[in-house]
Amino acid sequence: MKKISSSKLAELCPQIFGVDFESDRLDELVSELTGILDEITKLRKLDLSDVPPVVVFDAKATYREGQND
Amino acid sequence: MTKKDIAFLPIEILATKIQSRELSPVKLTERMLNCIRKYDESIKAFLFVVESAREAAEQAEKEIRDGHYRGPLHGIPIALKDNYLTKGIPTTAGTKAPGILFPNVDATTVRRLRQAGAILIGKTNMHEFAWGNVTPPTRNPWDVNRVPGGSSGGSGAAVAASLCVAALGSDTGGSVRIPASLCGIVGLKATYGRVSKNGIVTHSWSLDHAGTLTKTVKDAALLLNVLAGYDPEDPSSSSAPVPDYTRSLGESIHDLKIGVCRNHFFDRNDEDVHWAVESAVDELSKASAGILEFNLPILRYGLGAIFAIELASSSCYHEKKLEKGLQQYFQPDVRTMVELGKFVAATDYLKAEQFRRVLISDLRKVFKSVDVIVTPSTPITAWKLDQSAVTIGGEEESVLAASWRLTYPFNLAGLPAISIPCGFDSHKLPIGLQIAGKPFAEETVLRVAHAYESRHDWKNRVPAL
Repeated sequence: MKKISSSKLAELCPQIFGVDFESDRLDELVSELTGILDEITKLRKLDLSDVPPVVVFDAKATYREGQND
Repeated sequence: MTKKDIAFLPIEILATKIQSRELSPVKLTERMLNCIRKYDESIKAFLFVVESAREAAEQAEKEIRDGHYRGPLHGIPIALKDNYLTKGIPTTAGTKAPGILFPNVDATTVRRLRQAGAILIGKTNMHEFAWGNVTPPTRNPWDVNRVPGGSSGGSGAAVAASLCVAALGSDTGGSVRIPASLCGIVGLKATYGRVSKNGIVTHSWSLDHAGTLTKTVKDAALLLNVLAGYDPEDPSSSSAPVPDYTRSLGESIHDLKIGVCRNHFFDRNDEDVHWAVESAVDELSKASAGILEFNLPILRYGLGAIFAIELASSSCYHEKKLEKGLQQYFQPDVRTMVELGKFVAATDYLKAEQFRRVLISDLRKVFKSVDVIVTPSTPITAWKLDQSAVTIGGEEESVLAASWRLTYPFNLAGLPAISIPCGFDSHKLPIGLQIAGKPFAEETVLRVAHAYESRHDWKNRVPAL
């Protein structure tokens, strides 16, 4: 598998993330990200396909908040 | 300071003296301002001291003299973490980055404090944007070579050092309970939605909670009486009725069942912490309807969930600053966290929100059989300023990872949780006991905390400054 270089990823950052990162800074961030990704990878292994997220869209919420407007 | 000094007294005693006019709010406020001048050079808890607090105290004194006593907070000097917006007092959220300004208005909680007659004595140091558990440059009053915890470390240190009577903090993964534990005081975060977050600088919308740092459990209840309640300015605010949180303090807990979650919370703790908490559990077992031990296997996925939510939310909140490159002026650790949030996939964020439903559901099942869950607040006591790792049970881990392990589950679940002192380790550093309850069961949490507190004199121990 061909891996994307830091410099190429840095070029794409403004489009993907909306932020400019120098390639050196990207390397630092990737290093910091490793431990966090280990934990997120564990989370990904859970099969929660049928569990709705705890944050649920409520079409009336804003109307309730703005009832005194 | 001698132990009889008014600076050491909690709200519950000071309020009675102020109401009966035995104690002048002006005298109390001046005493606190003097303590700050004398001791804060070494503790570094305050970012901004309100020198005009004396005038507010004079006003309080006049009102009380004229028969207009507002309640237990009237004339009491209280400090605020610097992420609470305050009219007429600068707010920085702990950042020195240029060009970041905050509105000159009061947070809802600040407005409630003013209405209750509290004297706002200053803004306390915090970890920048509430991102961290250290709070530079603040020191721990029990040992100035150690951290006070964070991110509300300035508030924790100020209360522990008796530089104010009580303080407000905020808690996203433990930022009130961690400094409370490390500084030997009481830290309470109520149920998500119980206390308004309007006007508290955002860190992570669905995890942030307002909280209090106090000398006693009753003081926490007295503050909650003022702070709790519906706020239309906060979309997450609850309209659930607000009881008098002092009402059941002092009642027996013989009818309450205590839950002890043996995995996660007792997996890897410092030995002194472990035994202090086991001793507290044993004591609570005898005073209550007994202990129920259980496991929550789902907790092994919790760290990934809180990382995904907290990182993504913080990056989203700071997005405009990132676009302008302002993060280069942030502290290096904070800059890294804010930038890393950009790398959290939307699917991982949503998975974390799915996880929360499972966690809340599992806790709900547990709460069918128990009234509160008791755990250590932090696996370790205050660590040294230059210490980055700790070895617990033969395993090395970063102090930052260890410090919030036992607190963040209750942010993910939005449950009320309190940290109270339960002893000291071999270095004479405070150890914290955490008690969590069902949603909106603050009364029960406070009742159990008060029952434990009443059996000990931990609350009367103060650091030698």
